[in-house]
Amino acid sequence: MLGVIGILLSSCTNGSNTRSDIIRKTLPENTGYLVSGLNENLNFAGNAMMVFDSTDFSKIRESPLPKSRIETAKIAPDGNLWLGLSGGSTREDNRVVVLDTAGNELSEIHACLSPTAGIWFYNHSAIIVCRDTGFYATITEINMSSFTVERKLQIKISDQQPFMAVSSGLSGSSLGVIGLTAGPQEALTYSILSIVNLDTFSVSAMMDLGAGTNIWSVLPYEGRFVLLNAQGRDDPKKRDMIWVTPNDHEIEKAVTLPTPSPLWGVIADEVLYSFHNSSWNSISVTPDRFLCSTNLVTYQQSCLQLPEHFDSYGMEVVGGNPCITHWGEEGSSGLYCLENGKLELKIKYEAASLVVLSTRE
Amino acid sequence: MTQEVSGTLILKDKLGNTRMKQKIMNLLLVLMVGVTMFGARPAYAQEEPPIDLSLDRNGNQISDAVETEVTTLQALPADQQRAEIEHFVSKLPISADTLALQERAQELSMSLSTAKPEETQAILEELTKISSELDEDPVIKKVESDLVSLTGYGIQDSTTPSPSSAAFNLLQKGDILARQSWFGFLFPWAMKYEHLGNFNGNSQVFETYPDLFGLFAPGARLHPLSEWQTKGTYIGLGHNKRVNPSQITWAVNWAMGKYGTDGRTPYNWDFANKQTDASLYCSQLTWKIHKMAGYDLDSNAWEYQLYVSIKWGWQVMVITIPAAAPDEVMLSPYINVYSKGWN
Repeated sequence: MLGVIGILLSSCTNGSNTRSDIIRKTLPENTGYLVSGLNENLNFAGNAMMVFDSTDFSKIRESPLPKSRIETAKIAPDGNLWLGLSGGSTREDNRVVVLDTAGNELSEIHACLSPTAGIWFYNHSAIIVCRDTGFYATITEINMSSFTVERKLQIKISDQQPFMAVSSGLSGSSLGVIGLTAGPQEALTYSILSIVNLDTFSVSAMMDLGAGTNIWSVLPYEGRFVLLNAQGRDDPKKRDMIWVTPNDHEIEKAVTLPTPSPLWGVIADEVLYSFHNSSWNSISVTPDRFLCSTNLVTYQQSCLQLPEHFDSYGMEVVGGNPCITHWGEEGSSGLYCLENGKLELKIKYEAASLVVLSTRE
Repeated sequence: MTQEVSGTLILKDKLGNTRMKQKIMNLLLVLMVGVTMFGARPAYAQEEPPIDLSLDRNGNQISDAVETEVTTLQALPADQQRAEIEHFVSKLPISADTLALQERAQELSMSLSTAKPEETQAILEELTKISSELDEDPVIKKVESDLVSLTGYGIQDSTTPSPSSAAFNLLQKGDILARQSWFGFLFPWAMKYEHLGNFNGNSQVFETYPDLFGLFAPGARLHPLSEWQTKGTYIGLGHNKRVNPSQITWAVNWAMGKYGTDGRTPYNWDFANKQTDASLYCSQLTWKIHKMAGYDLDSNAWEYQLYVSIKWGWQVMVITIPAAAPDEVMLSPYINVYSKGWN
């Protein structure tokens, strides 16, 4: 009661407090968002998100989401949730939707086609990375106050060589955009890392990573990018992790891991937590899935073998434990966390795909 | 730019092509053929009694009339199948309400080719709604079900999820990926598959997509294979068993150069016009690729024409015969569907 009065008094005496500030203060310090945004059944009728307290996984609220494929989501420094809508198997989308902490839609912005490759925040702007046509990518900068498009940048190799942006990562002012391109060996994938300088809003480097690279995670770590190669198992050079220094545009090293093919990853306290799926975006299909932790100094790795075909579309570290989403058979979908060597279902959630964490500043 | 020639206003685009004139001519041709069919039942249908779908002398749960029709069509030469389908469908005991829905669908279908981009979504949404209502008509439901049972091809034959997904490991450049949809939003006249893509190697699929927000965004796209591997989708994989690998590789590369990479080719809503290079729908792109390699995949398969005619009225063949629908491609005698299943 006193707490509530405290908030109300604060809103009366401090004219700068907005409704969002008040609502935000009622959210726990650590809030998680579990998104179901890939289930195309009935035209994404089930798209929804659950907001949860990440200290105990208790549900705060649940709300529906726009009926369009959602492959990227990010919490802005102001606490708002930004979602990229990419359409579905029968139509395209170019919208980014901004929701406040109560789930109210603040803005719908036509950013660029297929905003699937990342959302970042830099210098009071939102940076949206779009796959666009798949032959070239588009980066759109959006003013976070007015939600207006400020400028766009196209990343293209040539008319003959495609650049299909699939993921990105931000380290300082360097945005690393990873894209798939074409190459002579049909069974392999080829990745190219484009480094965009966000201060000059221009491409500063295009780094060809070669045959056998199928990279979908660009993780910033100590001024470098750690690229995770889901095709590590089939890569002729057996590269599972590739370290890149964005400022020098150099490949620092490539690492082979005992359990190959990391797909998604999160780095926390010198440890890479990774979900492994060598079938992802590949014609080489296997049922094996792993959840691993790798010391980034010693490269000692320990892995839990997951059930066959245990697919996941996102991961986070929650309370020091790696957690992955899983969209499985009825009743088995949700958020799973590795605790004491065991994988536990923490939140049951139909067709769970993305998980995003917010820590209040 | 505009220029008046002989009293007819012709619009010329920057390349000097008379796109609008071509579009108008196509529409007039289709309308001329269509007007003779709209709302008119053929003479023979007016004299013969409606089909009795309840007769099932062999007790196999399939209507004798449908069994006989399938046998008849299987034996007929291709150029006689259309007339036979018209004849059969005209005798179905369709209710007046359903006939009215079919007529409304025909109007909407004809309007798609000239609709503004911002209008296409509304048209497709209404067609999807009509599709659901038609699916509930007991006569249509019965005949469709019997047809799928007899041919082994249709949405209904993949209702049970299979434990394994499609065999992506067998994909070769130029192979066709086909996706089934339960709601027919993109292509309401689907019998089984609604959308096609073309495998480009390197885990990439070359395909065309519409933009339903009226932004004139180009339709030719490159998508990651992972989108075709998403859980909850039913995929078929087809291989042109006659074409040689280097021929089809060349044809895919040719198509990417002609229609893609610089974003100039929009989606084609005029499904009957598959000849145009100015815009493309998904199966039209596939048809173009294989045609360039020497094979015409527009099979006009009787199974497909019969299915869509049962549901939408035989007048729908005005569109479906000149068009190259995804099902017509997958039913082509040149295509071996080597794998199918749920992701």
